[in-house]
Amino acid sequence: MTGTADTAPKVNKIQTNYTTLDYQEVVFRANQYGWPSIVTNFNTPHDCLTGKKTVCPLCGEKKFRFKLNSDGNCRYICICTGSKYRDGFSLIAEINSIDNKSAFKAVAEFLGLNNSTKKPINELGLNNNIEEYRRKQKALEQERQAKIVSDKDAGEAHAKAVMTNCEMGEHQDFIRKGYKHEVLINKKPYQIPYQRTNEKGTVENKTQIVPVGAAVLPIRDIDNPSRIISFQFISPHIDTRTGKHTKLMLVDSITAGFCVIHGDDALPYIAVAEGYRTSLSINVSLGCTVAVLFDANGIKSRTKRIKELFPSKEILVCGDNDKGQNDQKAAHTAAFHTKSKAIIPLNSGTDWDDYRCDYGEDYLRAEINRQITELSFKPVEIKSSITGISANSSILLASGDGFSFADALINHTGKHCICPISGEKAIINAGSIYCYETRQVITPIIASLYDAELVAKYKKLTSTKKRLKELSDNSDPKNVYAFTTALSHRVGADIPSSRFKDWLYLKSQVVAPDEIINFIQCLSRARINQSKNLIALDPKRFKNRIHLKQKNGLLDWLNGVEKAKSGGFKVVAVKAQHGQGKSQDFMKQMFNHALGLGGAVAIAHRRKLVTQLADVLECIHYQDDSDYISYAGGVKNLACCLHSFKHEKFLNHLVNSHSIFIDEASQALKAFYTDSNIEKGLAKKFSESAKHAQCVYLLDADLTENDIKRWASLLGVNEDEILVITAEPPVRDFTVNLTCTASLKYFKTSIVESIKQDLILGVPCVLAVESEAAARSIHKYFKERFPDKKIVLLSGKLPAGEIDPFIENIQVKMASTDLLIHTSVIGTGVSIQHANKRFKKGYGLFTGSILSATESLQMLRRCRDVNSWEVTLLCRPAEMFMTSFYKDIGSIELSKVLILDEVKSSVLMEREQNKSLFIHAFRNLLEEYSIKLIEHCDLPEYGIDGLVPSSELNEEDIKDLLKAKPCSLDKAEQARQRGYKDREEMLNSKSAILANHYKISRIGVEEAELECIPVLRHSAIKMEIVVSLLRGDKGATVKELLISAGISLNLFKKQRLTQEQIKALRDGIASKCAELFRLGLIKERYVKQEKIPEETPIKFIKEVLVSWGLMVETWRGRANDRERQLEISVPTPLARRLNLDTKTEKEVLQEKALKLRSEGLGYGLIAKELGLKDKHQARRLLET
Amino acid sequence: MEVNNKKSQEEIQLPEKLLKNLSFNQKRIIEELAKHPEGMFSRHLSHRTGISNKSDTIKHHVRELLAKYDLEVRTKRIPEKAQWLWSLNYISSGEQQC
Repeated sequence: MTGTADTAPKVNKIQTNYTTLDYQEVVFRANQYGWPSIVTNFNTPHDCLTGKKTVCPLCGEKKFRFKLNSDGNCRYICICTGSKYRDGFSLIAEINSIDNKSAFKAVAEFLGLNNSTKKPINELGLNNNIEEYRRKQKALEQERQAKIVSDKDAGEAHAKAVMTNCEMGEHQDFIRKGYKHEVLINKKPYQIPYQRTNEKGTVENKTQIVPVGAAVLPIRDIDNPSRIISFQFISPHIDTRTGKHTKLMLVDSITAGFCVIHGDDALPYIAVAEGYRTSLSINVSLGCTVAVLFDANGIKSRTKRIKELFPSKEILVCGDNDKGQNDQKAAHTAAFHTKSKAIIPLNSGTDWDDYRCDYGEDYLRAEINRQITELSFKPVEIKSSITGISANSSILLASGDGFSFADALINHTGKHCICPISGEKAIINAGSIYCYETRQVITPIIASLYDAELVAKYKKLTSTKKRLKELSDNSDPKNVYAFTTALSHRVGADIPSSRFKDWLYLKSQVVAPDEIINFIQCLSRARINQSKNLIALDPKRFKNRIHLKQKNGLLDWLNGVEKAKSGGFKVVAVKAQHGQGKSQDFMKQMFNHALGLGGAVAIAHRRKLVTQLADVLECIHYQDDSDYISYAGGVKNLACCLHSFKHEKFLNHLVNSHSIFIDEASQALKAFYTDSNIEKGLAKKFSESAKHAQCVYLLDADLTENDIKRWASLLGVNEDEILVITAEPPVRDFTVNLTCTASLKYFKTSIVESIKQDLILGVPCVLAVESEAAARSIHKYFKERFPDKKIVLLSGKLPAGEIDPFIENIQVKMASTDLLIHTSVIGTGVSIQHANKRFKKGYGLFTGSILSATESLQMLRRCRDVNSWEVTLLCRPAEMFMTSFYKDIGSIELSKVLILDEVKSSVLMEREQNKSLFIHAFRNLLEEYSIKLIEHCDLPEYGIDGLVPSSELNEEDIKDLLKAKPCSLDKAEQARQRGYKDREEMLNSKSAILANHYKISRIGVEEAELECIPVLRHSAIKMEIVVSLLRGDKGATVKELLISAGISLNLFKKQRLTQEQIKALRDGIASKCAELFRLGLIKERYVKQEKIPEETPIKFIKEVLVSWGLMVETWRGRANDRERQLEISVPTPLARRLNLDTKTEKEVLQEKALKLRSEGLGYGLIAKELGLKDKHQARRLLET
Repeated sequence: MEVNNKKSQEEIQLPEKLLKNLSFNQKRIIEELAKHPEGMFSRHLSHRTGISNKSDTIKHHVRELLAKYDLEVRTKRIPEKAQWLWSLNYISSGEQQC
């Protein structure tokens, strides 16, 4: 096997049989080999090759001079040559007295270039080969054509013979499906003999039988429709295996024909469908003429022919919606080329006949008419630069396949296509197509529902609430569509995409039609697919790649190291997650290897990282040894920061190194263009110097395909010279609790609430915030509320003197911190870890406007002890539009005119993309890191069956929960962790978990209510907290504080509070209101003493007690009594759960009295024993 | 030691001039077939080369170009394996054309 064509020929290369002796090649290789050794081999004295005037070996005069050119070529001159320069071949020829041709051959043979075993074939001979091949092909083609003709003839004969025995009649297959359609029915058995070669190679005679009662469907020749060339027959019997009537084609016949089911000729269109019954369903429901094709191959050409046969009619291509999408593809391709319409049933895996069976003829007609009207709409101008066309339209990709607009957006983002309006070259983006020539954006719309005024109206409304209100008032599909277009960019972000229907119903009680749901999902899936580009690395795109496997829980680097050491690669890209030994194992080995070969540099974009690298690699740190570097100059091993390359000496150092290691390569690349501290144009200088290195290593946990390509183009490296090493991800048990919100008020996000709880309960936690301002305001917020806690803010705006010492001593400093709020100051290279695993909870608040998804995740992972996070992603609706893409494509256009820095523009563009696709990218990233994701949305955990209003939902839930059969607790826990499959499983599991929670064998109405009514559930949790505080679980000080406020365990009993008690309790709470608020026991509006009502505190106390989970009712001793009392009781499930002693004094007395009574004491004695007034009282006590 | 030597024939040597005229994908297929003169099943070839539309890739002009160097790509259906067997052969070796 020879090498690839572009590699330079080498002397010791294995030769092919076919290479002719090419003059240029021989000269080239001779130059490479060196002429002096060649000519000395051919008897030239060595002394005359010095380059100076010497004695000529030919004429003996001292006039000979041998000269070597810079390209390796040689010349000699002497008076015997007529004082003219001649080449090495003629020197050899002269000395050995042979002609030049033989000299050339001899040299070629010497170089191993002359393959004498096979005679070189000249170009003419080779071209003759082509001619011969063409002749052969032509003969074959003629043979094929002849076979087609003979097959057609044979088929025609068989068809005629069968059809003479046929009569019109109904067939069971059509009757079974509800068609009244007459076809030809065979009345006499007919046999067709044919031959087949079996596995052993012997020819067998076989016969095909057309049974009596079979329906015969003639197939006509597409070129000559009057001629019948074959037929399909449907057996009268049902096959027991498939449960269907068997359909067979006439054996050895041409089936690429068609047949026509005639309908109303007055209709302006005819349909083309695949399969007889599908065609029949179209014919019956629409009444139009249908051309039946018997297979999907060659639909395009046959549809073109049918269009010629029916020139005045419009064509409808009725495709199947098969799961593999091949039929749709074929239908759309055919439709695009014949300028007709492709209609496809909505459900996957069905055809139009299935649609008719499932929904009936009327719905079939309605659906087809809807799709036809949808496609009849001309492009709608949305803005001068944006045009909308129906999402069902056919689009032709550059590869020649047709797709519907929606499919193209979902599955083919980033590919080129033909602009459906102008016919020019265009590119598919997430959610739209951009045409390069006309500079227009084409977006999908539902044309039949698009109303420009309505859409504008909904876009004008400023909040979702207002839009929902507007929608509730007018809930026709046009309004729903206008509403969804106004919100479409947020679907999949803060609005759930998969359950948009449920969401819309819960919010506005409006049911969205299926086509709108499909449309919305198309847009959101297009975005999800595009966002994968932002984080994904598909090693298959690279020729040289290695995937490393885990061995005993550790990554086995051996393969990668060996391959990298073997050399031949200019760029080695390594993607492995943190803690897999990227720097400890791989980098260290390769660094030492490179030191042996001539020196190495390790580069990182942060000082902290450089320090770490220097420690790991045991090399010179550029800061510690700066003097040494400037003296010595030629340091072999060095770790330095990107910023250092503004100094010439560091760049020089790069030039001299064998290998360059770039840690966190993705971020380093980004830093070149976005870091304001780095001087402009450094990337260019850097890459110029780095090109001299033998190998550049790119190491990152989040290396993407785009990043590798950018580095390669920056360093001017071919794709073949890149080695990509990927690693099997380690098994990790991480959970992220994700919430998305469009609100910009940080204090309303759920994580702020959770942090508050953690601070109260004394759980240390970390909060990573993307923006500086948000970090500061959150810090201020918590500082005000928790002055006694140690809350640390770490952001870039702090004076430089404060940050670095903190980061350096972060382990020690963090040991006493309750809450650390940090921005991206703490990024890669910093890790916080404590022996006692102090930090258990992590929080994150990101918007995606500055950081990318990978950077955000890196920020979260700084605290190594944390394995569960709560993350809130704030989406800015304004940034979620895809406008930035259009800008980018504009820059591609611009680059044709101006010379743009390609890498720079792509880095900057990715930053723009990141803003609009941040949430999708973040989700994809979690999936890639196999981190468990728990998403929160306002919807119930299961799909809403039949969509019932939310108020009724609780009642139903409670009933269902009571009816549920509890499963085992283990199973229930498992199901809860992995997410419930369906509603039944959820109910069964919940029932089991609740029974265990409330310490009973089976749950009752009260428990079910506590679970299903959110207010009750919330207050149950509150009661748990209050009781635990009162029992001193969080320290004696908190307990004392509560008791001083008049709150004790005695309150959690069945009792009546008199006005006086209420007043005392009110005063107690008022005196400690600020503390109680901080403990989360009272609402924020009661945080100031004067805000708590003084005159009639009963309402206030009732509210507080209800919020603590107690059952409270107002009670009057007598009718018309002015004094109202509060009757308190604890719900039994809670009392059981918290082991509360809920007995009242009276009940205690009663118990004692009963005991005494059983001992045989009389009323009087009992009264005396219990300290009662008289014996009557004791009697009353016992009798009640 | 006998290494697993399945290859009965030697690799087919491809002329550089031919390779120069092929696209990247075409070259991959032809080179892979040249390494396996006994032929490869369609899915193995796809797996090796990462190219799924092989028939589309080996276009008419590629076949002509191969014919120039006395080579042709043959495909043969193997029904028991439900696969097409692809192979690169010398035309002069004289087997039936497909």
